[in-house]
Amino acid sequence: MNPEESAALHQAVVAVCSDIDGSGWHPNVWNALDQMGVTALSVAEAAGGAGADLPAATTVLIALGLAGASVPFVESDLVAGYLIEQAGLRMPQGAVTAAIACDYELRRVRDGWLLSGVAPKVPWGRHSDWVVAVAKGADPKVVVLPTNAAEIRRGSNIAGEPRDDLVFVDRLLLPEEVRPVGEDAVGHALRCGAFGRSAQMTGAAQSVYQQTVKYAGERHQFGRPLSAMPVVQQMLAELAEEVCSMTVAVEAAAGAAATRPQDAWVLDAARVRVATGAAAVAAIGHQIHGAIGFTQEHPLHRATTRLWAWREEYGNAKTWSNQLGEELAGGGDWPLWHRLAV
Amino acid sequence: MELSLLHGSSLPPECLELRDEIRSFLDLERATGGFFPQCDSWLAGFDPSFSERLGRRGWIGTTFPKEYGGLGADSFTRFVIAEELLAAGAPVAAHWIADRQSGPSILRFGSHAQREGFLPGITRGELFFAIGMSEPEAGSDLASVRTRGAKVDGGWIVNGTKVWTSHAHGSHYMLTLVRTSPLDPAHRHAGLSQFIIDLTGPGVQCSPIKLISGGHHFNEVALVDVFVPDHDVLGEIGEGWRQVTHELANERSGPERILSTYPLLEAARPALSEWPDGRRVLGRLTADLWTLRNMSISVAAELHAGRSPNLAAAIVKDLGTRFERDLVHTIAETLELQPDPTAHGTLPSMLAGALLQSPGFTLRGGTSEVLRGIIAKAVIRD
Repeated sequence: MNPEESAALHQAVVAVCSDIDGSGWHPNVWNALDQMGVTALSVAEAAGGAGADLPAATTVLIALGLAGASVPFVESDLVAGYLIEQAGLRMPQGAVTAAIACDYELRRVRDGWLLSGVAPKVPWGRHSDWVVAVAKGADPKVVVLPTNAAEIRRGSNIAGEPRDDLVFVDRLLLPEEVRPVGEDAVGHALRCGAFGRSAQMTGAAQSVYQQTVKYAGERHQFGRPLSAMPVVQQMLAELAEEVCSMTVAVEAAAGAAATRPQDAWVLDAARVRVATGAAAVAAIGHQIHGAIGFTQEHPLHRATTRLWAWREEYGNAKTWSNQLGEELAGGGDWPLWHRLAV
Repeated sequence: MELSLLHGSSLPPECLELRDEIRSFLDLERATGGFFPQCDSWLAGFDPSFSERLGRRGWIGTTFPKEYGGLGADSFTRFVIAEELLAAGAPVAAHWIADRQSGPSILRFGSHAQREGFLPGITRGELFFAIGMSEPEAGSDLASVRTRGAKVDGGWIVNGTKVWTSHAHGSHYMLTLVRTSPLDPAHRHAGLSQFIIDLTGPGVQCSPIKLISGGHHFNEVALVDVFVPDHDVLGEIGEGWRQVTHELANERSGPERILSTYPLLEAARPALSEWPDGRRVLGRLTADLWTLRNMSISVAAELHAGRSPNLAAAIVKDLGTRFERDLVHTIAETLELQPDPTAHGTLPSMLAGALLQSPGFTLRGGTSEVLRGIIAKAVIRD
């Protein structure tokens, strides 16, 4: 996508989010995205997707995060879509969520397989038609399960977004419905989920920035706007720096991973940077807003609670720093730089 | 402030070949004792013979037109050369200022004679410049410079003192900010001009200021009745502020604002790799560095597009220089490493050098506080 197309996609997504509320599920947004044909935007056409690339999905996610939209786009496009592609399946009709870290176990029976177990904290589980899950075992297997066959134990994250346990007991699957995939594919699906959350967080951080700058200009104390106070100005500058850094991290990572798939570690680098920056962004936003900013009536919390919730989902800064460190560890003469600058 | 000020950009693929060429050159230099990697090498590594060897390759003043000895290359090319040299910890201090800002300023604002006179020597790595901006009473507040130029027949007589002038003692010229009209409190930036002052000429006295590391690059430069001929005035009389501001955009945006302590990370990598906590720290530092490098590339893309990204440069410099400093402390803590200035050629010695140089990172080229002031102004203006 060129910058104009990217800006147009951003605007289109922001437009369908125009009247969302503070809840944790926005079906109107999801239906609008479905009508735009973007719920499987970066999934290959052969697997039932739109065949666009990761930078396009990133544009959608930043816009959704900016608007405070709660929809399973990461799950559908980046996680389920990728697993579906790897398993040689097609995206099912309807809303799709995903479950990577679950304890679904498969038992061989005469007609196929029986699946039992719990997938914990499945994003928007109760609102999805299907869950694409990775069943445990020596070699992981991808299965597509209808959520209406599951027992749903409701839960949520701190932003009020549904994170439901999906329990299946002896669900019969035909042999062709159980598709083996490599460990690498499962790892990459998790990485895509983590990166997708980072792109959403970047949008949420941009929202904190916009609200905070506006408030600092409008709110007067001691006879002048907050933004006239040098201490506040230094905080606003730091906020702008963090948000800028998050934006560049996710955009550059999406572009680099799309052109050089062998350098997928850049997605982890973006995850670490964004997850680390989120704390400062939320802290400065709340500090400048004062008491009103952590009341339910003020919309700031929609962005900050999502930042706090999303940074812990699909692995946090520690998880992905470890992963990145494993990737880059070793001895030798100046080779880290050769990985960084290619 | 427009938040999409910086987008993730990438370097054009034609830079790849050049990158390989520079890496081969640096490998050979290291193998043959041409240099020993050090932190902050763009200030601490003053080595005229290394600069000459680079000049012979055409890697100084690459963006200058061919008629002045350059390659007529774009700003991405300069970016690649700069980051490869810095990441390797190569001693580039002698020519750094001339290549980064004095040369480009002469190219932009100078007369034809000045371009012909100075630029070829810069590209050969033979002609070095110092920055004559700060004064004892004018640090961050440059508009209050007191060095005065008085018009005389055929030129100007300059009196005043410049300070924190890195490598004035090893450089040939100093591009000097001088007040040529009395300070007008209503227009503090008016009445300033830029002179090219010959540091070997009469009336120039250079005194060393030793750093806490024991190293010497700072100087105090006293100018006593120094005669500057009219043909050594850069650009227009009274336009000094505008010219200097342009120079600052070049000064703030480069990879030297994120990579000053990179050699320490590279040297610490084998030790960090040995256990899980070390690897986690390696991952976290690399994530930050990778992001900063992409921000710096985005600024280079803005420069390449002919824009003057002062705001973006301020953001990158503030974040980048804080990273340079924090990296040193993080590595010391993680490796439980005592800095040892006497253990030459070891990690503790490199750590000692980086620690003692670190206070300068967030001061030089605009303090963090000044930069955040610039950023905040842009933030609030919306």
